[in-house]
Amino acid sequence: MSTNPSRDPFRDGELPQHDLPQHQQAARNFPAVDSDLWRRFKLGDEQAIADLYDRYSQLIYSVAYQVLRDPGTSEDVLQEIFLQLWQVPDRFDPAKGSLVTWLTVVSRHRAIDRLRQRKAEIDVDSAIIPIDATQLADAAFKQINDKISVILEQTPKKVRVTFELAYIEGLTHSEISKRLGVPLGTTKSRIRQALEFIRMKLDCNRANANGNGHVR
Amino acid sequence: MFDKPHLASTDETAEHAALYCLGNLPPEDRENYEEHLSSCPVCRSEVEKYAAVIADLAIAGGGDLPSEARAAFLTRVHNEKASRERWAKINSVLITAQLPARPTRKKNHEQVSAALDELATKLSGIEEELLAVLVRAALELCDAGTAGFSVLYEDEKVFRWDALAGALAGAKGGTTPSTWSPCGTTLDLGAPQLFSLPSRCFEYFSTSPHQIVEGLVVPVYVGDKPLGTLWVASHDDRKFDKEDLQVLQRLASLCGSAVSRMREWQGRPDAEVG
Repeated sequence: MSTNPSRDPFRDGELPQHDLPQHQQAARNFPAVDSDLWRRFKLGDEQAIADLYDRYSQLIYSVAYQVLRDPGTSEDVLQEIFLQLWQVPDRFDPAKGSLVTWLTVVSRHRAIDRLRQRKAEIDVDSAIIPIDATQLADAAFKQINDKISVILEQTPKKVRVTFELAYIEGLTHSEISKRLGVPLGTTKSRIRQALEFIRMKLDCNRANANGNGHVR
Repeated sequence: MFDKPHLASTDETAEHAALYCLGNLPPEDRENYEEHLSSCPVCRSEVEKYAAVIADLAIAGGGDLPSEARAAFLTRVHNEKASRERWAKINSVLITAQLPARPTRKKNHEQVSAALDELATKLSGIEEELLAVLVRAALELCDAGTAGFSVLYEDEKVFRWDALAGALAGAKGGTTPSTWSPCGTTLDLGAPQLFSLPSRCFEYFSTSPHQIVEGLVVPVYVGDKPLGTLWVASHDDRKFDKEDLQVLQRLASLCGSAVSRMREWQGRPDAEVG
């Protein structure tokens, strides 16, 4: 991806379309948030709020749900993010990226924070039993949707285990390094490799679905 | 490493962006990195790239958003927006913050003592008489145009002017909405409030035969429960001050205790009705 510091901050990146059910494809189509819609949103226009909600609610909910695996808490995260954005729109700073990216990352962070809070509460009440990191990752793997599993199965085992501890368990890179007994640099590198691999696979799927046969 | 903008993408910039997008950075590193993003197009680009992968994964594997969530959210927004607008309007007539800075007129100890003595003779009587004496005392001691006692009727969601003295005495028995009135605002805030030209916010006051220029309102409680409010209003250039507030608070406190005792007494099996 090229870098362009003077880009239109309201132009959201388009997500690749691939072989998803129709209702999911609709949620993946993120039209650009123009400056007029954002201006009306900031002024508290209820129609603008509804429009933004319609565009991004499924995305925010899905990102949170991937982490929390609980519809109620995921919906709480969704409402919390939208209400805070409505109350203090300047939380989103266009200088730091597009709105869809900001919403994706914030949703993930909020969900991870809640997951850690939940784990901390459980840890206080129960003795910590050492668990083999691979077993933990395998357990997490079972929770992943089939479509994602197919992609991850093709990644090297060590990369997959590391990524799943980060993606599903929400562990920090230092926690993962301790669990796996590998240096921090290795953990960071594996996580990046996994994301790059998934990105490449998704792009291939999209290219195949579009029928042009172009594979990157 | 992340204190200056990068000139080009490296393994390190990509790894950091990946950790950030996945939420795997500790919270303090997260904030520092977000600061860095505003000045580094290279890292912004990395974040855009990996956030798109996470969005992809989530949409592919995430559950369906419950259909009722939209209506629940938009109702919440609508209600909060209405509340925000309501308070903006109320704040435009609230001048309570001016009270401490206002010059205070000289206290008339004899007048206050006489009024409290008269009130003391009504403490074992009936509520209506007590409230009538109370508002007359408030009217005189605060040199007000009108004084009133608004009783909260929660079932009817109104305040009723059960006792009035002064220019607006003829309006006795009138009501204001419990959710949209100076009395309701005072109970919501749980503290005395001073209003300036309240008809600008509470439009129904504009039909008053005597314009309310200022209104000083104090809450009255029986135990923890709100009974209503005691208030004074001016219809000319009279400005209420801290002294007026102290008088009203003393009267309100006395009234709350007296009503509490009266109701306790009325609740006794040997109490006579009427």
